[in-house]
Amino acid sequence: MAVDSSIIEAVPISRAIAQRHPAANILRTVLFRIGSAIFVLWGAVTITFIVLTILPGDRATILLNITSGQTIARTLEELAPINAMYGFDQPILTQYIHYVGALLQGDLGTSFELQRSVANIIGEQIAPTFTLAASALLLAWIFAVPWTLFTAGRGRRIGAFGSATETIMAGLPQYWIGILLLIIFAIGLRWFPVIGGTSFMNTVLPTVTLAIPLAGFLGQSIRSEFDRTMREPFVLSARARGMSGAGVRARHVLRHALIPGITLSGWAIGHLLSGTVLVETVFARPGLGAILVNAVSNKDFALVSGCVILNSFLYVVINLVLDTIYLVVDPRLRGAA
Amino acid sequence: MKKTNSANLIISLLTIATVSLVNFMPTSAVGATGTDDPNRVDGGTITYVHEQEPPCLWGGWVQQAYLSRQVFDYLISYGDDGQIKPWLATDWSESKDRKTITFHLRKDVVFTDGDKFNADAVVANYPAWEKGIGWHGFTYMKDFTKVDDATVELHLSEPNPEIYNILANGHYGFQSPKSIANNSSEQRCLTPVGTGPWRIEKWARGSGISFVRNDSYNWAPENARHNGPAYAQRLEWKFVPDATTRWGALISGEANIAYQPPSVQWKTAQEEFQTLTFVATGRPQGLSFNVARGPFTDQRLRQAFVYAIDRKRIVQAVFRGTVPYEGNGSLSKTTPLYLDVDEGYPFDTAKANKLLDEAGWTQRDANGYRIKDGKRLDARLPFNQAIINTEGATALQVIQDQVKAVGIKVDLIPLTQTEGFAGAYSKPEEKEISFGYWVWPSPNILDIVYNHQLNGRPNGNNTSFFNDPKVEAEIIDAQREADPKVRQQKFGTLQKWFDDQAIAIGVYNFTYNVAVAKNLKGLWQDQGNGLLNFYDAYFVKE
Repeated sequence: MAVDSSIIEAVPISRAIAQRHPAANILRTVLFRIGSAIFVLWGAVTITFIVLTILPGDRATILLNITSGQTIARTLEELAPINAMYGFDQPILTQYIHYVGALLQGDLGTSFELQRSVANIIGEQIAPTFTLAASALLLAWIFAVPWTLFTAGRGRRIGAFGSATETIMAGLPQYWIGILLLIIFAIGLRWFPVIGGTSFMNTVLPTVTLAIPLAGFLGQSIRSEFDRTMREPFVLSARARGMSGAGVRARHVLRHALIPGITLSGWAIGHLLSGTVLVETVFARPGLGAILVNAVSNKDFALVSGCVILNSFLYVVINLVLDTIYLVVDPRLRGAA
Repeated sequence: MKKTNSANLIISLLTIATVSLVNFMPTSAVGATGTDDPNRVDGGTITYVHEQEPPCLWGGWVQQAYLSRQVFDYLISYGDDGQIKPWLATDWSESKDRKTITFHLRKDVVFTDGDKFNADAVVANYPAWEKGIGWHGFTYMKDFTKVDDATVELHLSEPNPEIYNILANGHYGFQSPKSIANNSSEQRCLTPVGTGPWRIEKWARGSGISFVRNDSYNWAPENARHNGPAYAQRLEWKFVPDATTRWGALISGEANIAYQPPSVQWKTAQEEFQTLTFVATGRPQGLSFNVARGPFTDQRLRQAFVYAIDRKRIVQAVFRGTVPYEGNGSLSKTTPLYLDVDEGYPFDTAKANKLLDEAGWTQRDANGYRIKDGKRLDARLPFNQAIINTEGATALQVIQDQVKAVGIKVDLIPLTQTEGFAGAYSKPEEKEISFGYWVWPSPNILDIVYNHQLNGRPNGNNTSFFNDPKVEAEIIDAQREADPKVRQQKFGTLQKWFDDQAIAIGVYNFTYNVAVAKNLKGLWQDQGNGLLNFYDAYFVKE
């Protein structure tokens, strides 16, 4: 998404402002943040609306066919009442204004396929999806950091082994990992339930499924920065001061290497929130992934848009959090604060 | 949801390896011994893992009928022997012109919201059927009128001896009039109110539906194995889209019943579990040729196409015994008045080549495809991936390969769910061959799929674009025929004619297979629509 780069770019801008008039400019920073967040949300909604409008396939036809299990072209007589009921017969601009107008009043609309309010559907599905995304990200970090610490910058052979492992992990298809874990650990060994929902035990295998490729990506991005930093003069000088090799790696080099991993995490969590459909399918788990895929297939605009708004909103929030984490990790950014 | 073949293979190998690790439940007598089974354990939770999750519990799609059957009751029931049995209607009679049917209703039936079932309730449900069931018009139903509190008359526009099969299918159940009038569309979608043996406790989208027993239930259909409340206390209906996961849930004991196990596991399922199979009524999965335009307007080309494919072996190889071969393209094996034409058009490439030569397609291009008047023998075949599963698509690929040997080029066009349901590739100029099925409990499916027009407009269900007023008249004449023997003969003649003409030819039947744990007895499948009946199901002591 092109929209989130504006948020990341906002870091140096706000920093520059804050350096000149720290107290007075906090308000401006906050306003700028809120403004750009609203812009991102508006952009996401508008793009979704345009894309779903342009995509081929008449919504009223889809609705009629899906409720009768047919795949035929429909006559105007059949379509007219459906179009009138859902306002599909209005000009596109009117539909857009209607939707945005309702949105401004906090109304996400109704899913025409599921006959329910979008807010209800999302409210019901957000918890399992968010739990899964957050735990997968956490697990990926738990794996990637020690793996990099032990294998990066320790000579060519170990480095190549560590890097190859990460590449393989990053390349494994989710569906395949999922079905493999399911067959071995749930069906074969019975350590985990095969189906059943969102309890802790039900979340373990889906989390591992998502975490494995993610850990590969994270590890790769941390590793290249780690290798580069290991060649910096300050590493040598720290060693010369008598600091242990492990100490330098963990306290100084790792700090540098984390930055690209953190940036990647922002992308990853957004990706995890909407890209969990395969894992949900394999583990028969509720969540936004399947809801979103289905809604796109049926051109259920309100529901697709609701998911996109949620996703964009979380992107905004996550990037704010990441900015804070950058400050913690990289003291150079703390400057005026 | 789609898997590649190699992934399938790995899965099957892994699963086979896993099966040997699993301890199966001890064997007890297969099948139900009825109400007096000494080993019966009352109560418990039945867990069923199903594939597709429809948007609402009730509607015109068969996926919805599977669910509605659990919470609704019906006027009549489809017996195992094909006979119609009383249910909410105790008896019925037809008028002389067979267009009015008088139903006498039970007087002791109440909905789970306390509303009473009576003639008013029947009349109040009719508009919901008209609105909610997309193909309702093909049933020839016009309306219901109330005679007295316990008597209604159903009016038909055409005589329809199969109207009973239709009323007994999962779509024509009754909701409480109070709920139709007062409940929101969300409530009517997720938690409709019926009189059935179960009521809906909760629908957790993406996960499943929890049903609880209706304790005051005492009006089971005559062909049920018992009366009174269901044996089990709860029914957990889980949506598990992946076949391997469903199979895993069954063999790990987390589910008691699994819908459509992977074909590679079907033999194991038959050996280690109990299985139920239902071959759907209506139209089988078959090939319909475009007879309005293009090369297949020539009967010889249609016949050549059929001779060029070894349908029996394809079905056997692809489905491994989970699905039967079907030769008849108009009606499936279980449909009333079905005509067996399975032995027609045996695999015979010499005959196919001869027919194609006779039709003038004698030249060949560099790839061996036939050419006539400078045009290659091309056949576009779009198929909807939401309706044709992976195995069906594999069967189509084999067909494509086999007809290549006689010089026909088939272009398979897979459609996404969006394209398919939006009616893409449904016009005569867009395709030469169509592939699909239609579940329907009556031979008047011919009327649905071969009528050129519907209400003065082109009939979208006519995928062969057939247009012959004389044959249409014969179909409606067979439908109206009062003498059952003559009627059977008339429908037989029609099926034979469509097969001889090779306008539509069958490939395989749409089936509904389930594997059932051995400690669950009494589960049965309605023979009209394949709907599972959990009401009679009970656990036995292990």
